[in-house]
Amino acid sequence: LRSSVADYEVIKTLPPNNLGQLRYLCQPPERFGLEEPVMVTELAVDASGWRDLAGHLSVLARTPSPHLLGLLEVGPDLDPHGAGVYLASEAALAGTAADAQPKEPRTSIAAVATAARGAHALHESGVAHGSIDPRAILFTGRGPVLAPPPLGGPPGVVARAKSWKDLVACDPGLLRGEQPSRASDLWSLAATLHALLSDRPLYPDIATARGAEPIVTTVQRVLFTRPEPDPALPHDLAEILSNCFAADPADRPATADQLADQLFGLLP
Amino acid sequence: MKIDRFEITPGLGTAIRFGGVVAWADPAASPALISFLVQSVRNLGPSLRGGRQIADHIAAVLVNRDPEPAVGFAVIGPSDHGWATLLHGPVQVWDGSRWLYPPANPGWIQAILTPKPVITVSAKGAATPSVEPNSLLDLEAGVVPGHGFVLIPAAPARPAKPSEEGAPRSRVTRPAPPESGRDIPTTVLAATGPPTALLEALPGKASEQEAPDPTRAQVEVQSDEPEPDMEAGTPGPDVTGLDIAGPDVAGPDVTGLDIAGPDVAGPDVAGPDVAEPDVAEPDVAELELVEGPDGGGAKLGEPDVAGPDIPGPDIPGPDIAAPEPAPAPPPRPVAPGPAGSLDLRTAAAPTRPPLPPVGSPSSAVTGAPVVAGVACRRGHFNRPGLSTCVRCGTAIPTDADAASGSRPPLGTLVLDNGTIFRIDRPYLVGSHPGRDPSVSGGLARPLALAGGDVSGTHAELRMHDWDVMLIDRGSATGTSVFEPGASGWVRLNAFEPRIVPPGTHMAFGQRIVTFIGPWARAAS
Repeated sequence: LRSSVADYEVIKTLPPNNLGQLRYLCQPPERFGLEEPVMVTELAVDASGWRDLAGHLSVLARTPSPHLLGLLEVGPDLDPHGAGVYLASEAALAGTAADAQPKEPRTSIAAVATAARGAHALHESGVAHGSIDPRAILFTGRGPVLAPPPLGGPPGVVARAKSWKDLVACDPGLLRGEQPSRASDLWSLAATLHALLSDRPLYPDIATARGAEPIVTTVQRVLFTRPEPDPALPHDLAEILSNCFAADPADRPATADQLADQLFGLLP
Repeated sequence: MKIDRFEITPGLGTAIRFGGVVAWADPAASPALISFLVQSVRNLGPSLRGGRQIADHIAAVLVNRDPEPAVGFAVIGPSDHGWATLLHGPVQVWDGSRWLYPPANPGWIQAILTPKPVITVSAKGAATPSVEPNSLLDLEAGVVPGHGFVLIPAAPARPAKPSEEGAPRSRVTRPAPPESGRDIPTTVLAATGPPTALLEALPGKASEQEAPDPTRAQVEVQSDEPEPDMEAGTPGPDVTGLDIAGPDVAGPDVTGLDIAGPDVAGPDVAGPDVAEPDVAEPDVAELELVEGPDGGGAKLGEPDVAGPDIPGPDIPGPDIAAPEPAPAPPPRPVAPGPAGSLDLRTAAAPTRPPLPPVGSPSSAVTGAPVVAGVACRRGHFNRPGLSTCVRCGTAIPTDADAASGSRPPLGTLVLDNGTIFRIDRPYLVGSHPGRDPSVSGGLARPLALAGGDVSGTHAELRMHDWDVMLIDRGSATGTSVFEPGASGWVRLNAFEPRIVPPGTHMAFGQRIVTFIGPWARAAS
C-alpha cells in the first residue's frame, strides 16, 4: 500500500469506480489550502497518451458546472511502482451511487438529475461522457456530482466490462461502435436511474442468477434486444425513462438538461 | 538547444531518446525503473526544457526514496541554461573537459553541462564512448540496448564565417576513464582533465586563441554553443560559478561549479585529487550544481520549468521561486506542485463547440470511405439488402433507392478480459503492436493482447465495404476462427484475408476476441 502519491499523503484506499485503477483518500498538499481530504486516482495512461489526457482534463476542468467533480491537478506519477499518471480531485467521501445503501428513490432521482445537469454542461463544452453508470455518480460533501469519463485507456475502447452489470447502462449505439453523444448519454442516465430504483435488470432475460453471463452474451443482448423497464415503476417516471430508451435517438429528449428538469419535476 | 546526433555504444544497458531528452541505465536496472525512465523521457522529450523537467522529476522522487540505489542511470536534456542532467549511482559523464559523478551520499546529483563539444555517458569506470565525426550511427527516437552513449548537440543557427566553410567537424578523442579502483573523492566533480582528453581545435578557430595553455584553448574553441553568462561576477543569485556553499567543499581547485545545499558538501570533497588546475578554471562556470540532494537547495533563478508540450499556461516547478512575477498571472496555488504536474484549476483549455443536437447523425466516422447502402424511412443509412433498420427498427422498403454515404462503424471487438473496442478503424493485433509502422504511422490502432503465445504483430483486422476482414501476419501460433454455425475452429493461412461475419470468435494464440456487429449480410 502506497503511503503517498506525488506529494499527497494517502489516508486510505477507496473502492474502485469508473475513473481509474486505484483511488485514494488523501491529505492534500499545503499548496491547495484545503483542509478536507481529496481523492487521488491512478490513471493507466501510457506515455503517448499523456498530452491528450492533459488537454482533455483541461477541457473537463474548465467546464463551468457545479454538478461535475472538481478537478485539482494531474501529473506524472513519479514512483516507479505507481501507475503512469495521477489525478487529484475533490473527495467522494460517501462513495458512489452504486455503493449507496439503502437506495432511496428521492435520493437516486435527485442524484441522476444532478448528473444530467453535469452531463449537459459537458455536452455544451463539446464533450460526451460515454460511460455514465451508477459508479460515475459520486456523493461528495456538497452533494452528488458526475465523475469524469474513464481516462487513459487505449484508443477505441468502448467499455471495460467485468460482469453484465458493467454494461447495464450502455447505449446500444456504443456497442454498434458509434461515438458517445448526447443521445447515448441520455440513454445511460436513464439506465442508471433504472438500476438505482429497481432490482430488476433492464433486460429481464439476463442471466443474473448465475451472475456470470458471458460478456459477449450481454453485449449481444444489449445490441439486439429492447430494454424492458420495470413495470412496477411509477408511470410518470417510466414514461421519462422510456423516452430516453427510444431506439431512434431523435425520439429522446433534446438535451440532458431537459431530462434533469423532468426528473426534478418528479420531486415534491 | 537540439541534438545533432545520438550515438549508442554497443553493449549491455539501456539507452533512451525521445526528442531532445536522453537517458541511459545500466544493466542492473529493473524493468520498472527502465519503464519509468522511458515514460519520463517520452513525456518530456518534446519540451524545450525537458532536461530540467526530467531531472526535477527524478530528484523529487529521490528526495523521498531511492528504490534502486545501486543502479546507475543518467538523464540529460535541454534547459534554459545548458544541458541539464541528473546522474544516479555508478555512472560517469565526460563533457569534453570534466568528469562528473554522483557523490556516494546521497548517490545522485543534478548539474548543468556545457558540452565541449559532446557529452558521453557510461558506467563508472568503463571505457568512455568515442565519437567519430563521420559516423552514421544515430538514434533519433526509441529504446535500445547500449553500454553508453555520445550526445552531439546541434550547433546553434548562425551565419557561417568564411573561415568555417568546409571546415571539418570537430574530432573528439576518447578521454581516459578515471583510474580503476581509484576512489575519486568528489561530491560533484572529478575534474581530472586527463592529458589524453584533448579536443582538437578547429583549424579556422585555433588562430583566434591566444591560449598559452593548449588544453584550455582547445577546449574552449570547440564550443559552438553560446555559453550562458554564468561567469564569475554575473549578476544573479548564485549563478556565479564560484559560489561554494559549505566550508568542507572549499578547495583550491573545485572551481567552476556552484554547489548549493549544505548536504552536498562532504568532508571528502576537498582534497588534492579533486581537480587539476589546468582544467577547472575559475572563469569557466559551465558546470553547475543546481539543486542539492536534500531538495532544498535550488539556487538557480529559473522561474519556471513549464514545457510547451503540456497545455496550460503555467506548470509550476518545484521550489523554484520566480524572480519576476509574470504579467497578469492567473490564480496561483499557494505553492507549486511537483514538476510536470498541471494545475487544472488554472489550466487553459481550448473552447470546443457544443455537441450536435440529439438526433443528428452521430455514426459517421471521420475519414470513413463512402459505401453503397440504403436508407430507412427515417433516413438512417443501412447496409444494402437489410429489411429492417439497424438503428430504429423500422422497415426498409424492398424498393428503396440505393444511396451512398460514409460507412458507419462495423461493431465491436469483445476481448476475453471484457474490454470492448469499437471497430471504426483497422486494428493490428499482437503482444506488441505499437512497434509496427502501421500503428506508429496512424494507419491502424493497436489491440494489445498479453500472452506468451501471441506474436508481437499477430494479425490484422481491416474493414472492407461493410465487412470485417481478418489477416494472419505469419504469427507463430496462428490465427483461428469459429464462425456462427460452424462446427469447429478453422485455422487461417498466413497473409490470406478472410471475411469474418458478426458473431465470429477469433483465436490469437490462446487469446479469444469476438466480433459483434449489427451489419451482417442479409440472408440470400
